[in-house]
Amino acid sequence: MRILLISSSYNGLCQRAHVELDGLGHDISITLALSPDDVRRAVALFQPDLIICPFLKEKIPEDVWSRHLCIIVHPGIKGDRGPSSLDWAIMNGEGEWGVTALAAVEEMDAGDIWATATFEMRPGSKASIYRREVTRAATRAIVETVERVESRSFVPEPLDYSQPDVRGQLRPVMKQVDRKIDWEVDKVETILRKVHAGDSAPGVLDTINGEEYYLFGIHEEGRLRGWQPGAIIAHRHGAICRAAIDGAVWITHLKKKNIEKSPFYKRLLGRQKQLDFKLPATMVLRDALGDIPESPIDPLYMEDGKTFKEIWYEEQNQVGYLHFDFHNGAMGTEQCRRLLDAYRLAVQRPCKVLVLMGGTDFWSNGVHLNIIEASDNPPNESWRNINAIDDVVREIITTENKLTISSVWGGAGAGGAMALLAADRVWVREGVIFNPHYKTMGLYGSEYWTYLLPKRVGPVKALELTETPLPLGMKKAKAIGYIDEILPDAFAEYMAQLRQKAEALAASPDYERLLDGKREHRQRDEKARPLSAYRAAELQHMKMNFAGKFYGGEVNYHEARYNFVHKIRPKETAAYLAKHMRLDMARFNELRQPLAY
Amino acid sequence: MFFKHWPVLLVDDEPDVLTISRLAMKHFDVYGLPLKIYTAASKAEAIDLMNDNVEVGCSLAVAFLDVVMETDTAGLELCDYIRNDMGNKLTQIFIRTGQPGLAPEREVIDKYDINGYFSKVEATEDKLYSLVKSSVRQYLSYGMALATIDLSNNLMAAGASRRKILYALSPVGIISPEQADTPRWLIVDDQVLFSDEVDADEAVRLLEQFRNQDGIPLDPAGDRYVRNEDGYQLIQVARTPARSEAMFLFKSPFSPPDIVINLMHSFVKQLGIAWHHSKEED
Repeated sequence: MRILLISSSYNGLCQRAHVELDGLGHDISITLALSPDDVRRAVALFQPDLIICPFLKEKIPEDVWSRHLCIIVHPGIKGDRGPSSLDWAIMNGEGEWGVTALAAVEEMDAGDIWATATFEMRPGSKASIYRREVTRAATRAIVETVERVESRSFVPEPLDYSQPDVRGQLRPVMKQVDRKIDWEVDKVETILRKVHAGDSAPGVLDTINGEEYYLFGIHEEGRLRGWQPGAIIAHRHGAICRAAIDGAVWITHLKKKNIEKSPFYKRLLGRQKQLDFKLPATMVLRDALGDIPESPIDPLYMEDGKTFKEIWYEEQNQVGYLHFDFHNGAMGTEQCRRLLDAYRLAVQRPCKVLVLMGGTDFWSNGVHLNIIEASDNPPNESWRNINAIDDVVREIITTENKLTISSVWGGAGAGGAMALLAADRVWVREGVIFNPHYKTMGLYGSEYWTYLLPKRVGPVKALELTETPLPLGMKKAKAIGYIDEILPDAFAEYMAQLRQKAEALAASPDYERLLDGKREHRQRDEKARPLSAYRAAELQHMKMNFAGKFYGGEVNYHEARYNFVHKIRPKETAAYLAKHMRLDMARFNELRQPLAY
Repeated sequence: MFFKHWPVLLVDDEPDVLTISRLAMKHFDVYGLPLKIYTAASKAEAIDLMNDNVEVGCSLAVAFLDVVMETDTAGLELCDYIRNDMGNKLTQIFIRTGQPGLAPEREVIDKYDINGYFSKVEATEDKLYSLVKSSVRQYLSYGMALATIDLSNNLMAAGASRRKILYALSPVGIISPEQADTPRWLIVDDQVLFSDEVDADEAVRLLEQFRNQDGIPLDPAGDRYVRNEDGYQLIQVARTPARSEAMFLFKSPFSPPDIVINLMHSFVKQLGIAWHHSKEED
């Protein structure tokens, strides 16, 4: 079928829908809902058999939904309606939630139901649940809907609140007054729910030292305590710990309220840096933190108490698991340096296999664009960050005393999607999407990608993957050799299979032979072209991205980064997504607008 | 052309040598720009600095390296690191040693990709002055030549696609944030490129000023170079049957030497030709 995806942004769910439907052989084009006319033009040009809206905040024009079947993917159970579905589900502590695929009609979320899928809720932020449970359920619902439309015999179910399985209801938009934390009254459990429900957007508005900030990234603290609820009692790795009436919580990120957004060019001339985007809390508060003490933890943290930790390690049956769960998968300079320290310690541990677990939502997305944007000298911070991440990748590539596995549960993009190739094996959850390209950020890229990627997929595919900034699904990734194994999509099975396979590798009678083979392979590669030469050549390109001074500097990266950090929507749907625009491959190289991932 | 100073790195494990060298170089200038001096007391410190500071890592004009520091050959290894691990063939590297016996001049010159060798006894202020001045000139000319080749390659690869040409030109035609005080514009057939991202009105105003100002002829076709007293400069390539009129208007803190003007002229000529043969839509 010809399927048009209409989406507010090309986010993770839209990418997953794109990859899945494309994999099923459908002809897919995508338009961002930038204006009603954009939508109309896309429909007129593409003449779709079906329109699916995986993530849509805007209204579809009536002349579109009245003439074409438009399926809205709503992140709520049957009968749930309204723009704050998941927020309410988290806030109300729902045990089960779901996704409903329904036809667009005049009334919001009130159309006929084509498919529905449910999932068990878990404690976690809205973004995390959206990326995992919602995306998985939505993919099921989308595929089922497409099959039902194709069958031509399926009759969708009208919304009928008298039916016993219609448990949802129309809910209003959740406002800040609903989210507000009362530090004198709210217990830790309530504070966790409130922050989770607004994370990653819009955040919970709160006051710290007389200034208003949105709060993000909450973690329960098990040991530290303070007398005054709401007071900051410690800081660690960019996060702040605040006392509650029955414990304490860590807040990792803050965003300052009410700063006027300015376009790139004006900011350029204005010279006034406005930190109106999400940043590590201590970076936002800076001097206001005063003499709040740091609460340090081991670089290779092995305890399992409740606290905020980005890097931790566990070990079982000769297999070590190194977790590095950085917010949104972004790895700043200091985070990379801590990861390098932790990696070096993990390598010294008496285990045979080291599994690089990444984080719960992302394995890694490469350098930390928000920290770079906030720094006094972004080109300098970019340079520090890329060198720091390169150091980590080099350490993984040159590990000789054990076998390494990148085990990817969350997504990976840009440098992160290249860095995971540094391990000897790459095992990935079935529903993961990679974005193995730098182009949308105006960068050439480093992380030894010029060594790692062609080695796995060959030069032709390497060029295709990096030049055309499209998401990569795991079936294709395995087929082209990007990854070695696909692991199950559900968390429990994923973990069970990962452990079983990693332990089997550690206990394999072939282990020593495999390790010898790895060393010989590395030596051969080093002889053919030293690792340092790959890095040097990549950094020569990045130099131009960061700090060209002979004819000027590459501005694309700085502009793309600004737009990304400030969530500035592109002016038009990128040519490589909007098949209906009939643009040729040559234009893939001419992108200057980043996507709003 | 858009440097505000010339980054120079001094690496020596003797603090006195660093202090004296820094003092001696304090008032040196090349093309009217001062030096920005970075120091490191060892090979390891220098590497950390290069990885930590984009200017030292990417735009270093000159480096003076002591040989014997944490090891007898630390400075030579550092030279190797700069040339091979960093891939930096542009920085002018001088080996400065207090123990020539440990690193004989011929051996070092033969084995390492350096631009000069001298002993600390020879390192008078005058010697440093002449080395700094000549090496910055060399660095600028060589860097401009490489950048011109790079631009030419990109223009050539763009073929007849005007969109691709614009993409290739974006590093030149759009200013990056840290270079807002050295604006630049590309103008082809009276059209300011990237006009929605640069101050096109300012370009038109400046061109009007330059129109009647005498310049230096660059070739018989009418190409010329003009500079005004505010530091604004224009490389103008005249229209002919085979090429469009193309101009590179920019503000630079210094007057470039002839070789740099010639390199920029060749880039603008190539732009005029590429534009002439390109099409609006491909």
